[in-house]
Amino acid sequence: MIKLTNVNKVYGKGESSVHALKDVNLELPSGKFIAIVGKSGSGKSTLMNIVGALDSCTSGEVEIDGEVLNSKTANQLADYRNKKIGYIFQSFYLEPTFTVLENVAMPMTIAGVNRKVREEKAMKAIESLNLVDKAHKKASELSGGQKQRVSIARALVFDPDIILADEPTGNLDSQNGQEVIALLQGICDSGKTVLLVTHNIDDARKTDMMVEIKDGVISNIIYNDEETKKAAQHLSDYDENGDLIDKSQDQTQDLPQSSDKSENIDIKKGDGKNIVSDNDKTNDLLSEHIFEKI
Amino acid sequence: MKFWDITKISLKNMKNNKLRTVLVWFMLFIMCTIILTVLTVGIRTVDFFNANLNGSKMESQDLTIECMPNERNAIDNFFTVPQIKRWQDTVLAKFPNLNIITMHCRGSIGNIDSKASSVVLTDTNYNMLHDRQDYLLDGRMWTGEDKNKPFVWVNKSYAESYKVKVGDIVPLKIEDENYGTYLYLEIVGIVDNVVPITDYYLPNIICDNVYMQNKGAKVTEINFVEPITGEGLNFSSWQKLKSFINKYNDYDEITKTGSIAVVSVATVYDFVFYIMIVVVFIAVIIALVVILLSIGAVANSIQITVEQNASFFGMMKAIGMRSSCLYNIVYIQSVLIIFAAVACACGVTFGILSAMSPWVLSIFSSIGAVGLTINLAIPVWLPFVVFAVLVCMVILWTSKSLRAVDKKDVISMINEVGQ
Ligand SMILES: Nc1ncnc2c1ncn2[C@@H]1O[C@H](COP(=O)(O)OP(=O)(O)O)[C@@H](O)[C@H]1O
Ligand SMILES: [Mg+2]
Repeated sequence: MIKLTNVNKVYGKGESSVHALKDVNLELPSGKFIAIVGKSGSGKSTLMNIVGALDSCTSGEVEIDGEVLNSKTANQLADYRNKKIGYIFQSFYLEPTFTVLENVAMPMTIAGVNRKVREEKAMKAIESLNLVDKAHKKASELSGGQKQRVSIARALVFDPDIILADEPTGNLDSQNGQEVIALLQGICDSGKTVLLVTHNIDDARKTDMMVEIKDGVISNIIYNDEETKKAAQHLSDYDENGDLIDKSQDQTQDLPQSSDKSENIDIKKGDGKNIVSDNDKTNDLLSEHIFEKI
Repeated sequence: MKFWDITKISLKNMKNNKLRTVLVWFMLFIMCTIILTVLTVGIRTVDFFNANLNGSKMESQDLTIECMPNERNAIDNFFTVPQIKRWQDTVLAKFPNLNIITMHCRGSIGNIDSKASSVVLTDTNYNMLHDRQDYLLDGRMWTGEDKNKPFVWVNKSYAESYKVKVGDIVPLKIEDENYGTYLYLEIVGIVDNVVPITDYYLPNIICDNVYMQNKGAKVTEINFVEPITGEGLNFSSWQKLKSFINKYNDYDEITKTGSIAVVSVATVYDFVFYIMIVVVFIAVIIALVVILLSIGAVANSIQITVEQNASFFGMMKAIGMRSSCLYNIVYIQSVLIIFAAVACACGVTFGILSAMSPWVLSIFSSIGAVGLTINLAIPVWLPFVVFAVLVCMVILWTSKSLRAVDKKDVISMINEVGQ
């Protein structure tokens, strides 16, 4: 479970400071495919980076599976990023002069796993992503789609619990993009929590749950899947003061065009209190925030 | 992270920044060459000083204790044995008529023939000489007490032609492994060179073999010796030197008045010591400046490397690299570059110093310092010390800028422009 409590992030100081996350309270269930949507500059990446310990929050508390990130030392955070998290970036961040195999094995190299073992494991990850013929090629020789698959293999190699993908399809054509989303879906099916930042509403609909951010505030949470909703509701039964949240106003509606997933949507305010929403309003919200791709 | 994996990343970084790596290496290489050359010359000057001048002072004292007459003191203060040995051309230029007997330390007295002109007594022959009191004209013959003493017996004709008498000190040059050592021997007896009908000749010059061997003379079993040239036996210049000294009564007076330039051990010692101090001081200053410059250059360029590779380091940190690895990657990079620079600098310095060596020797010989050599080899420990100092300083220096980079959030490192 990923739990953010009163998380604030302020970049810079004084007049030029940007309040990128404002009092974010969010609980995300484990083992789900979760999309984070919102306009460009709304704070999606900031949220992801804080969850992935790539960045620290200005105030508030981040708790991942019962462990509070704020209290960890730099080395503990490094190990957390190494073993608990798999990060997939929009621009891949592979080392171009290393081979695919070396790139994929890098998290294990960092952890000091011996060469034979790590290459074996990396090879397995490479196989699972159909890159065997590229294993000994330099990363720079690959196409964008292949690069992203390599970076997914790298994210998976250490078998982390949480996969964070910040616009992984942003630099890819739609076919490769679809492939990547399908891969992420598969990863989630294997029991991992997958957080996906995306602009693409179709991609977002394939997830179990959509979190919408607007100007640093969680504005909506939309469940595409009943099970996820239940899991999330269970988590959210209590607010930060330990009081039971009033759920009398809960309303569930079908989301048109949604795929073979559950047909339920639920819109929720960032403060943890549910709001009423109808079909049109949902579509408005989604179109307003998600369809414009920047 | 395993050491080899860190090294591999360091090498990769160096390869990715080939131009800067080569530039830094080149700069360090030039600076290390300067440091090694300058320090080697400085250190070798000190060694040279210790070997040639400290030693000579001691040797002169040693000799002074052995032979005590007034003249000896005065002479020792002008020229010590090692000085004469090494700077004989200078000495002879100053005193052109100062010829010194060359003593061929060979043979035994027992079956010497008419050609024999000088001899060293071997144990079995001492008594033979002792027994021939009938040869003695002045002074005394050898006794057991004379063993290992700086005494000499000369024959009558030599004593006459060189106007020496019992009690005089004569300089004798022995052939040794170096350039000839000068000994000052006291004449204790003058012997007849008239040949008794049934007997053998006595040689012209006789002295103690134990003493000679102790002084480094090579005493061989060859009985027949080369005749000593008349030139080598010319005592007249010795007399001149004596009169020169007499003119000033004694050495104390000379140094007191200070009006006469005297090449004394003390003045040479002080002069060279002064030169040495200056050389070493300059060497140390140059080395320090160069070391500081090179450290600054390396540290600065490493800082640039880190900044330019921030996104790479950020990526590595994003997938779990600890800060210590970042430091190690950079340190190994520095160590590799410094190592390559010091190694190449050693080679080039060796070349420079080898080329300098004959030049230095030609300077020595032009000022009359024949036989003086200076060892210009790089002291083995020096490159290691230079390497260690550079590594320590660079690590100290870069760790500060590394900390600044490392303090940033991972995401801002990744997003840093550069790569
Ligand atoms: N390093 C930074 N320094 C200053 N402002 C930043 C920095 N990173 C992001 N921001 C600002 O924070 C806000 C949220 O950014 P981000 O999380 O990247 O948005 P998104 O990923 O949703 O496009 C934006 O206004 C952005 O300009
Ligand atoms: Mg973003």
